[in-house]
Amino acid sequence: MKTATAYIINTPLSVSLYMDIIGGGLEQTKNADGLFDPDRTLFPLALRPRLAVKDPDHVLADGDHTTGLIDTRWYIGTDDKGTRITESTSGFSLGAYGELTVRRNVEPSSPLSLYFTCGYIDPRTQKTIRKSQQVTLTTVQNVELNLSLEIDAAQKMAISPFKNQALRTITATFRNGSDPVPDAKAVYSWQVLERATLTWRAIGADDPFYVSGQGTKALVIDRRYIDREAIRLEAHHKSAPSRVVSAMTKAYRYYGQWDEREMLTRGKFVRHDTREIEARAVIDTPRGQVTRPEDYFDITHIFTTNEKGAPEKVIGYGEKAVVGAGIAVRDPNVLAVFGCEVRERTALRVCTIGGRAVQVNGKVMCISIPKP
Amino acid sequence: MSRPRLFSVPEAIATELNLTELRTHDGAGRVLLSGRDLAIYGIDKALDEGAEELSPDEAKEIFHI
Repeated sequence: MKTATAYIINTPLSVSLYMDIIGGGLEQTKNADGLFDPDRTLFPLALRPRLAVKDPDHVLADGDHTTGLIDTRWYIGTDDKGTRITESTSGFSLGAYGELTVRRNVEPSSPLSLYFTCGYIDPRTQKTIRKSQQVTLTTVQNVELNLSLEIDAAQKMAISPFKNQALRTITATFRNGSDPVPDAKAVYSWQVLERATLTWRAIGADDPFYVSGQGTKALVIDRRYIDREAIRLEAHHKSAPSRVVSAMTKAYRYYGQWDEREMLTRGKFVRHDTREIEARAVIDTPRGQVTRPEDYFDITHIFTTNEKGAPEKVIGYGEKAVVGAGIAVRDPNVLAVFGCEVRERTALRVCTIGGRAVQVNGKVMCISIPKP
Repeated sequence: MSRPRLFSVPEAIATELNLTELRTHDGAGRVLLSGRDLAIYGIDKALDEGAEELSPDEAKEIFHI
């Protein structure tokens, strides 16, 4: 028997894969408070594949053939080499015919690419046609800022050397509108003015007055080391690094009003058995006498007499000076005169030799010297 | 600072927006939609048809989110 084979020729199908986006768009916004709009954990987004087929031979009905999709797969990434999304992948759920529901928010810095691939069996030929599509979810940082910064220090902050507490905390209040900016969203930089170059630089461990708090909203300083420093705080919201606000204070050492007097606490009246004369410097302020004045002042005790041209002689330093009673001449016409010279002292300063800080047992040595 | 808006809407509105399956229901015929969900529909129109704007705390309480 002779045979002849008839071949069926099918014109290739026109197959188009679309991705319907249900319940939002591919883009979110994130505001300065870190809130997403929409929040996909509450308002999920569905990506629904749709397959449209057109058969030039009109064997198959033209139109939607989504129900014919097979082997549907989603991947995190831009191709099928990414991480495949399964039912256990957090933030996603898979539905019928390749539908993917996204319950995950996307950070502005990390757009999320999703890759979809699927198959469709041509009913005429039983051959599988593969289609794929990529979508990218993005987030725009929405910056709505009305920032203000205050510190709890006056523009000029007098620092009294007499305060018992050496430490002073300068605390900042950083607001966006009327709302405080959470610490996690704020960046703080405490700076000091370098007087030699008139430039601001970050306060660090090398600054003797610095105790703690760099990078936070509360700077702790040690008053004893402050003569005159301009201190500035710069702050910005993490979402807008270029929107910097600042606040400044000029801290300076200030003794206030004071007056000194010399008292003879022993030997004011020199008798034959008086052996010593004790001179004591007393510092009066509007708030009372300064206790341990040598802690704050440079005090020099001087002796002279009421004779014309009598020399002045330094008899001691500090709060008290004790001299032998013989210093007072036993001439009723010559009076012993005691006096004191008192000068304010600078704050503690780093002691340097040849431009290098002197260290003792690994610690920087500081000195306080009389003011000129 | 603008915050994302939340609305409790009658189920009919969510149905019209084809969002009933994707959104949270309170079990009493109302659905939680975002301001963006309603933008297409028209927020004023939705409010006229019984939608209510909610604070985040109210939304948590009503929809147990």
